Amino acid sequence: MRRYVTTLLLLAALLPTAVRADEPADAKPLCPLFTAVEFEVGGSELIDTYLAPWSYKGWSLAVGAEWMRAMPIEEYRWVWQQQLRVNFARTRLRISGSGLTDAGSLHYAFAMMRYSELPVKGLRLYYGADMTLTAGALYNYHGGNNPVSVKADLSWGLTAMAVYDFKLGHLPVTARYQLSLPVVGVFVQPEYAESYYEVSLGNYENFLHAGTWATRFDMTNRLTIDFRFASWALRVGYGNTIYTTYTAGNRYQWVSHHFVVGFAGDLLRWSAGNKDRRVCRALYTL
Amino acid sequence: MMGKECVKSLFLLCAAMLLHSCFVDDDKDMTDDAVGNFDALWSIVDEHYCFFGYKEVDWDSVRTVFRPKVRNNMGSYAFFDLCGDMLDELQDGHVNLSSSFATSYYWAWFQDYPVNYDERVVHQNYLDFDFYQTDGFVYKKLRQNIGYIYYGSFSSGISDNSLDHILVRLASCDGLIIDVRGNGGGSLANVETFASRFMTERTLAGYICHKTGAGHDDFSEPYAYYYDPPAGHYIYTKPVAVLTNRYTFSAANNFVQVMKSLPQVTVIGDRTGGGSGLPFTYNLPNGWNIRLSSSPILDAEGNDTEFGIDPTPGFKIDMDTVAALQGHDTILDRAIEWLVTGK
Repeated sequence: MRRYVTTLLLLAALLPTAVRADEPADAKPLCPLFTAVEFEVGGSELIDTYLAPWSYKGWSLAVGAEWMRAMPIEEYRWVWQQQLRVNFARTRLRISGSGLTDAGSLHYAFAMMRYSELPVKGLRLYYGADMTLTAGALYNYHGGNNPVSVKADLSWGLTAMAVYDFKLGHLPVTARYQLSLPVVGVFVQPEYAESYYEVSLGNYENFLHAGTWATRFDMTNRLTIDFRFASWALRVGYGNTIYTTYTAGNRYQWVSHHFVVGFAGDLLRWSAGNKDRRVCRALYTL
Repeated sequence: MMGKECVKSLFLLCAAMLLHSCFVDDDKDMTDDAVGNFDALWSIVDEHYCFFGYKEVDWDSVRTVFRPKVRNNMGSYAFFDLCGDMLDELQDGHVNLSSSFATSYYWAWFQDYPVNYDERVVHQNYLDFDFYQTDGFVYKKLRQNIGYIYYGSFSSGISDNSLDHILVRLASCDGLIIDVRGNGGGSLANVETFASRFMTERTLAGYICHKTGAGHDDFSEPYAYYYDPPAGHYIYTKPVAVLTNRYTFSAANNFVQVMKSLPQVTVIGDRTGGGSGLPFTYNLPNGWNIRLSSSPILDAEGNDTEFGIDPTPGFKIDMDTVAALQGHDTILDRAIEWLVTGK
């Protein structure tokens, strides 16, 4: 089991290698790469009036990964975080259970956060800004010239998380709640009944929209608990995402509630000098 | 004390955010019965159909007539027929109600007119049952050294490679007949691929607009769109006759509209069936689908062609059904005559 978990974490660690700093091996503290792989299952509700004026409800899945690392700013009080998540939902008309709409998206976020220790032992507050990129589509199986509603947005916003390290008996446990709240950005959405055929002819007017809380509201809530066994942790939790746009006569909303399970841990670079170096972890403290 | 305040604030923040993440359920009062579905159907058409003004249809009056006939205890077939009758008021071949047991159609746009095409007559007497077929095209050099292409559906894929073969094969002919009688439409992308083979320069193909809101007159400014001759592919520049009948509909209607604007093209036959609105489809609460015209496509002069396109002046002709019995397609004969004599 442990071998599989380690393999998973190593694979997940391959993606952000470009972000690793080229540190002189003996001078700086060791900053392990915190890595998590998550699997989610739950339910989704969605509506996109471009496709149909009714709401749909069904099951949804997600697979995600997360990376965090301490940064050499302010005595390593800053961390960067990357999240990558693929979401899929299969839904039917809420009112009758008929019809069929699938939704899928790829979500990437890069955040930089500073943390402060709060007066409660083990409790820290991280706060900072993030950039998110989401791309996806809804597909309604009714056919016709408007079966697809494409979703793409780039946004900048705020993110914060509260992390509480404590022990359950002898077992170190880390509870975390993170909120991500895009504030400004851009997103695409055709007008009320504008066809993608017309867009393909070159009519991009009113296709690209400024994203503010007047036109869209996205949010991600994640509450996770990591039960830490030696070098890895079992993660369980709850994830909630909400994507919303209100513009051009159309309303789109996708809300998902997921049970989260995954594995997490700090990945260290193994070298002879590691044991003598100070370690600055991004998340775990105990 | 300070720590407790922080934890309390965090808890309140979490609670507020989670409450905000609740799904906004606009249709919670909607019912999946006959009345609910009738109202949903009427509303979708009311908010998305694009030809109310052009056709002078009073949709509120239509509701007044049909709504009292709806009963929640009526059977599915009876309810479906009632909805189909209501949709017929739009006089639109692009408006269909689809269920798992039936699809409603408005047929009058071609049923009230002569057929003006008989495939057997063409295949037997003009093509001698000996022709080439590819990508949905039927083509051959006729005896009079006129090229003939039949294209029965714009849903049939068109490849540049096939078009090159066909047009090069027919390049030595004195002229070309493109027969789109009975072509009920398909992909507008195929219209561009085909029509652009007869253009020597960038050509205004027409205008397209879309609904910008639920009001009957909420439309965007017409957007001009152009077709360019495809670089590196064969362009046919000799005279072209396009044959039409009432069943030339939707994308085929659009093809005729574009071709008619070209100087070397003459449209021969009957008025086309129209269908110039790009259709969208929406679900009803019970899972049925309503397809309706949503985005009007106008010709290069900005005219609506929803009710069809007339042949070139002087070339309106119906098939002589008696002559057809003797193996003559008089519309095809007229096209050959024009291409051979120029008159």
